[in-house]
Amino acid sequence: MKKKTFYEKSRKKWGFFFSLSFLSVIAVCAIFADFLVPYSFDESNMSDKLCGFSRDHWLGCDLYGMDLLSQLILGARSSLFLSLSVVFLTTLIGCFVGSLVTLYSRQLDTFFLQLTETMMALPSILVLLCLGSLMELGPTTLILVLAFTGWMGPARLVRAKLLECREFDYVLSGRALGVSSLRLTFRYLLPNLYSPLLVTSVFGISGVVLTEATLSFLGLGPQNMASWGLLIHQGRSVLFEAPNLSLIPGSLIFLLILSLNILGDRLKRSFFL
Amino acid sequence: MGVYILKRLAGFIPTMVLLILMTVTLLRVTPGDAVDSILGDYASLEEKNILRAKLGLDKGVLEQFLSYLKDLSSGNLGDSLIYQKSVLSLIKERFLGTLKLAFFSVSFAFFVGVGAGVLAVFWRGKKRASLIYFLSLIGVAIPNFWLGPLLILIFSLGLNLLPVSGYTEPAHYVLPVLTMGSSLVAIITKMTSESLEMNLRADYTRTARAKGLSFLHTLLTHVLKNSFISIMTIVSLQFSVLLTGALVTESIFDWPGLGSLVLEALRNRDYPLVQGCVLFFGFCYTLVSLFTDLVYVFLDPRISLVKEKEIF
Repeated sequence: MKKKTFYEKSRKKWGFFFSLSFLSVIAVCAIFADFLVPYSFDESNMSDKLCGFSRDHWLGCDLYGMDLLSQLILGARSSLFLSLSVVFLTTLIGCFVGSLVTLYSRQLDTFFLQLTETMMALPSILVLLCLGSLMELGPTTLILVLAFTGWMGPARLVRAKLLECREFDYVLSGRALGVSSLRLTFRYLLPNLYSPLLVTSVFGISGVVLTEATLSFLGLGPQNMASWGLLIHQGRSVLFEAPNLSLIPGSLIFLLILSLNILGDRLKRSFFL
Repeated sequence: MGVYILKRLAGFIPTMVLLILMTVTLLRVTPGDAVDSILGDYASLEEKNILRAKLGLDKGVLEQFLSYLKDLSSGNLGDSLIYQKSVLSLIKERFLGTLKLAFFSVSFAFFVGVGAGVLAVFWRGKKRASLIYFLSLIGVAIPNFWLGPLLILIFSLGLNLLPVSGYTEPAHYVLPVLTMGSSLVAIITKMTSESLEMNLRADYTRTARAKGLSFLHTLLTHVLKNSFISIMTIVSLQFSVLLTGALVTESIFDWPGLGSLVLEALRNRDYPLVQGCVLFFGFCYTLVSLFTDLVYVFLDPRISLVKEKEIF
């Protein structure tokens, strides 16, 4: 095998380092948002409307005289909260459904394959559009819809991996000892799935962050919640006067997705997937 | 092969049924009254009853579904609440705009992406290749709703080179196509180089090299051909990316297409129009995936045998 050049090696190391540090900063912001924000969520001062960078407002103010930095910190929290809950739900449903179909009859498995194929033909954005025309989407609805349209990927992964792992010798010896299929699946087989599920979760998080931001940008996301996408949506009308309002939240979304992707790639490589 | 095609065509039907069922039943499952949320709080009872009848909410779910199917079979998607026109004619009017945008974006992404992928493999181990990898990493992560405004700021406001909106001259296409195609370029680049790397390890590559073909020649004539299947898969799987891209891009550049039509409809709570557009998008999506599956068989006849077993 060819040796990697120094440049390639260092690039990977620095990329990983950058991604971890950026993610930790965002995580700290999200967890300690209440202590970090200089101004509270709904505190607005119309005289500061669209002010530039200043000592009082480090990153300036938005259209309603609200401090951008505070909005960004609170946005980090809602972004992470949304994406983590959606990925948690999809992984949970995926594990449950995926192991269920391998446990029982073959007909169930065929039905499962057909169902997931059909459901994957529905992009989540379509369901959200339909719903969005009828009601205001709150954070909970958004989480539920995204989980409902996103569980098929993890479920298919779990099913495929379980079918593969079933052939291992230790499963046979477990069976010989009289372990029930249910226990076999949950105690013997599912632990094999930690690493692939971790990798898909990391990519899943970046996907949800992007979807939420896109929805908010289109004006379809939750309205009464700090969100980076919503900030860009509001900043669009004053793009020429105050480009910082849309460019700063945009670059945060970009950096977050970039770091998550680098982390995911790195995990994938280290697990030899 | 014939059996495979037939089975694949049969799989098309449940998807469409599910899609129609979803758009029809959604009116009922939303909390509160759908008619109230469309008309607002100040509508009279009479107006509400008219709308209820128009949306088919005065019938049972099954009846509503069947009458919707009946209308659909005669090409009737209902009337828009705002435009006073049939939904189908509105979709027809706007479809071409989106199609043009999507066509140029996909072709741009395909040629640039495959080219960059081939170059990345050809320059393996050099700094230039790392640069391509780095750029593709950035391209995947860059959200198009951020790229669009950025491009406008740089090329329209800063350098004064390109127009911000409009859709008649070729120059109007540059920024929207770049905005919509950038993430696709990156995805295709990544996929191409990965699939090329994999095929380079195959035996036929060694044979080709052993009989004296140059590396570039092997790459372009033997390896690239075999990688096209996976590249095609990726391109066809990007429909939802393209759809979201169309929504965002059309809204940024005021492009007269289906994306901006849906957004207008959403803002006006014009449910029949949203419903029609969603159905149309879903229909296109299933059609595209059906088409790719059929094209596979012609690209690589081995697939039909494997897939036949896999599906049923």
